[in-house]
Amino acid sequence: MMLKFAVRNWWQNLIGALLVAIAFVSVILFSQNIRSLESDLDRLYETMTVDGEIIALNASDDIVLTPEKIEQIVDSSCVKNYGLMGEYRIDRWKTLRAISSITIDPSLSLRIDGAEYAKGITDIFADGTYCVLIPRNMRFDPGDTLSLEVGTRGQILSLAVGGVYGNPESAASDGQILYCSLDTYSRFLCEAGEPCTYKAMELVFCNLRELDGYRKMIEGLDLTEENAQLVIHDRQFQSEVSGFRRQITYQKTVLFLIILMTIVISFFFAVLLLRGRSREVLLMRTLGMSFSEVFFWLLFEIFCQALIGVVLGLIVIVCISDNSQTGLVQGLGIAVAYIAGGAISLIRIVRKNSFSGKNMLE
Amino acid sequence: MSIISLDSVRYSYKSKYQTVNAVNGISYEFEKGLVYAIVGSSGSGKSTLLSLMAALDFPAEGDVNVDGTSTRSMDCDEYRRDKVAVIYQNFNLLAKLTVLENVELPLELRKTHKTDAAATAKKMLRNVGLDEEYERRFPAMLSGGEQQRVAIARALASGADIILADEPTGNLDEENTEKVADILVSLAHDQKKCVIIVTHDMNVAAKADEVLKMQDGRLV
Repeated sequence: MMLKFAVRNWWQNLIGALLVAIAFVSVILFSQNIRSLESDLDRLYETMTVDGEIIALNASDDIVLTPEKIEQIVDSSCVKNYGLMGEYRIDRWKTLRAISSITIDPSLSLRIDGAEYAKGITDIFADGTYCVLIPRNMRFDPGDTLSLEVGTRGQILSLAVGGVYGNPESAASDGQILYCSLDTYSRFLCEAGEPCTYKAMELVFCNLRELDGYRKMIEGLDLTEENAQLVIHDRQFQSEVSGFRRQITYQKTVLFLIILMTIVISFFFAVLLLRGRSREVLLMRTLGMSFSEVFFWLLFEIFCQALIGVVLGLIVIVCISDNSQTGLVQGLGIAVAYIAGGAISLIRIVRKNSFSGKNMLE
Repeated sequence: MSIISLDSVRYSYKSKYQTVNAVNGISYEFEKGLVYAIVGSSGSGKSTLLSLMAALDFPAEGDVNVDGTSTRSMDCDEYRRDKVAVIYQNFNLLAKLTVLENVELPLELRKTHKTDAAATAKKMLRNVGLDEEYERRFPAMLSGGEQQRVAIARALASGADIILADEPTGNLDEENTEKVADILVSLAHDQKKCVIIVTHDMNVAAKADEVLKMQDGRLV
């Protein structure tokens, strides 16, 4: 019987189905566009060259500074160029160890001066999130384990992030751990764009994903007088990546609005369609149909509309899009949103018409 | 024994400016096999009384009892589906269903097998004088009298013992009025239904076994 009614009300259901199809196609196209932008951003992250690199040790286990790892630290362009002693990636919180007790072997300092070190160890920082920067005035011996008491996440961050100031001209150079935000950094730039007050370490990353992760890390750090500035140079990040991000954010907002609008439209559409059928609802109730039977009878039609709309939408998407799978979940979300909107209006309509005998008999 | 009884039934509703006592303390008993005509001027509470008996609404005070059970305490959906059928002045057929499908509807609601439902519906249509050629037509293609006969066939198909008819001949010409009234009378006398007709038509009322007059919500 439900199917019979759905077929007999074909033009109403077709309008509903077309509505769903339009929303379905729009959402999928938007989703595909967002996915495309994200892919572009990923490619940008992967391919964009930046001004420097992070040096790190892979620390999936407890950090043990073996001679080889120390070698990696000192065999770095950052150490060579900016006096940075080292950074250690920490993959697990428990591997973070206190660095306060560690001092740098003076022999390492000796080795830094004028050393010719190889590059090419950036891959070990490929997915790094947290870094420990070892100040130059700290001492450690080959084979020592870094030990750090881990408290809160904030504490970890504040201990894990740092830089080594390496300006040989400055009195406050050696042994300082430096932190700063980008805004802070900008205040230290000369007109030419070079740091003037300090020859600060320019931590510039192998790709912008690392840079972004690092930037997030230092945001919100509690800067104290004991901490000087870590400098991150990210002009390219600001320009190109931010542009992509703005687009993605915009499109996601539009996507959200489409889904929201679909719920609202489907609600009013169902109200409009079913208003003309309120007498039908009343009659079915007088014939002994229960509230839930009437509700599911009409919901079935809404469901049919959504189903047909999805099928129509899929046909359109297959015809016009190369990648029909992308955004399918969001598209199905539209169908669900449509059914939800219809269900809400149904409850309202069926309740309103369930029912006063006066409605039917007068 | 009465199939439906009214026990000091009162019902009022609020209009914009006043509270209207549509049914004002009515007590009465209706029996199977008889035709009752309820007459009275407009606004005397006839249709409201009918809606209370159909369990489309509940009395503010008193009880409508069906086979000794108050409509308040029964499953009203089941009651409307199995025990009572309402025939309306404006027919209330579903425009998108054919004549046969309209008559099958109460049977489908009772989960009757489709083949049986179709057979019963056809039989009921024949009972009200509509032959096979009408079965595939839609209500809009029928005259008023034919539509009302379809509505009666639908009421018959439900197998209900209580037939409530609200101005069933109100939109019909004299010839069709006669036919419909005769069908309703035969339902009571031949099939032992309890037929309660609300009408303004004194010719229809004259065919009833008992005539009840309503005025200001009371039986007089």
